[in-house]
Amino acid sequence: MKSKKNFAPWLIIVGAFLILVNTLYVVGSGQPIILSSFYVGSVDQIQSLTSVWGRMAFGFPGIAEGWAAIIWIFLAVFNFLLSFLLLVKTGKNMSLKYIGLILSLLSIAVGGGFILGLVLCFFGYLVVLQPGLPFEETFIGKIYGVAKLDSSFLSRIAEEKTALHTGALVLVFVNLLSGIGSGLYSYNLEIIRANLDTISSSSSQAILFEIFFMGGVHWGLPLVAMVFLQMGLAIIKWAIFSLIIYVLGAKMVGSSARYEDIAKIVAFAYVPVCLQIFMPAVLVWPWLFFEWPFIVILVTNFWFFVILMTGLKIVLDISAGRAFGVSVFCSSIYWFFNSVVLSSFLNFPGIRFSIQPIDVSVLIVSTSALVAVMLGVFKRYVSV
Amino acid sequence: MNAKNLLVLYLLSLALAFLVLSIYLPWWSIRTSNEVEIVLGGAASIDFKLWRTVSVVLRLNRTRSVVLGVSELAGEGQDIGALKNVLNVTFYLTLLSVALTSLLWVVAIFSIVKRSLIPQRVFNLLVVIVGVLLLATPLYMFSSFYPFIPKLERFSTFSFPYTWAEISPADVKSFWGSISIPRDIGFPSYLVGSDFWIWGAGAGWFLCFTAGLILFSVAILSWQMIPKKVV
Repeated sequence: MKSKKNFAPWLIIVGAFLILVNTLYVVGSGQPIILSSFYVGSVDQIQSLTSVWGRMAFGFPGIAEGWAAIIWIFLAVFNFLLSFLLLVKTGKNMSLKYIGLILSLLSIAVGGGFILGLVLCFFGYLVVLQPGLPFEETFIGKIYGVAKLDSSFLSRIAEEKTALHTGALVLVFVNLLSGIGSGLYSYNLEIIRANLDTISSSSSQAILFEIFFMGGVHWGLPLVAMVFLQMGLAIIKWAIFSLIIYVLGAKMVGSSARYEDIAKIVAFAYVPVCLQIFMPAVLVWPWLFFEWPFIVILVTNFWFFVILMTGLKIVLDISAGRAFGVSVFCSSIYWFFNSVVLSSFLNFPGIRFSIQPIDVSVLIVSTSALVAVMLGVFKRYVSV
Repeated sequence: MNAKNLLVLYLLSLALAFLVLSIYLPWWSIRTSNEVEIVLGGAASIDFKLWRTVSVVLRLNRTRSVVLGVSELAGEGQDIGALKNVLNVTFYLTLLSVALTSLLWVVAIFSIVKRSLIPQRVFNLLVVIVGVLLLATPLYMFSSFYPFIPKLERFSTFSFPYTWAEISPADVKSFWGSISIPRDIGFPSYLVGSDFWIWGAGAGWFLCFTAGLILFSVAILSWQMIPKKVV
């Protein structure tokens, strides 16, 4: 068990190495690395594109030029040294680990080791920040166990008494990441939309050029507020969704599962949603306003659904078919409540998809109820 | 085999690889900015390398390039000689650093496969000395190189397109700098004032500097491995 945890410092070393290489590349060229699917030379050209164009940026513009380059090299080498010191002084100096974590996060400004390096360091540091625990027991280990749909791990979570608290922390962590990702995306989308409307002005063209071609990312205080709002709301939504599953799922199938058991599974099921942090890493034209965020949200939410279904199968002790029925039924009701009822009187910032006309939404909920019946969700309830 | 010494070896190997690469890569460059490259769909660069050569490349529809010896650059013989001398000193300092780092690398190998050839404290001292040398080399170049650039007459035997912002050696007044996009060369108005040409340390300079920092990292790591006396 314990030997498994030794891979964490090596993850950090590989990550720190990638960060160093990325930093050297960025400071050597004096500009961020911009990868685009094909050559486009102006904002006007972007607007008239009929085929899909995408760009990915590693680093922010104007951050590693001149003397600043030396500072970034210092930070990258220091981070690399810290990763080696972890192996020499395993588990001892906690402050070094926090410094390493902060340095790794800072590296996003110079590409974050092609993003992969930052991800490796981030996860590695979160593991080593909990010394003495086997990997599966660490915060990241639990997230990993859920993400890979390990059913034995999910059943352990259902039984674990402290899992509710950990679940709430997971929820905050996941919504912090997804809030930053989807928040940054929607914030920049608003800037792009506003400047597309005034494209004839020079300043609008400059902003669009910076975002599309130079890898520029805008952020501001509203974005920070948006992230905090999303984290807080996530807890409320979690309680409501768990309640819907408890009342319409657990009670209907006649399970003895407690509200707390359902809440644990729902909280951990949110894990894949953290991948939404990568949403602003890619800009895709003309998919910018719908297709790209929709794909990201669809993939992460589908993964969320599969974990939820697997978890409910375990915690409610029912067949896979009935678990699917419960998940579909409860998720559609929750979705209706969240995206139709709640959104109609509260205008939350961030990315939101709505189906029009509203009758279609009602039709989806009705269909899911029928699917639940067909899959025998209410079987026991009817027979009694 | 001491597994911890392997870590030192990894770091030394990386420093050595960076140093060898730095000999082949430019130490000081003038190049077109990202904005210019996007708008024009081409790029240009003037790279000074340690081999006392200057390579000028223009990629626009087709690629034109020329490699000149520093002594072939147009300018006063005395200034050209001084510039060549700076590159010479930098080159030999880098070669010396490569040799010393290689030596440290061999010592590290011995300490892993057989036994340490020298006491660890001496090894650490040598690592620090080589680290200082590695940091001193790019700093020497930084302080001594750019004053001679404005004294050159031109950089290349061919000219860049006449529609481009002009760059001449006289424009270079510091190690790092830039020339803005002027109003009258047909660039979009929102890019006027952004950089056209940027100059400064090249990849080789950064690699040598990084190798120096890595050597200090080796010293710190190696120092951490020395068993502490228990009183």
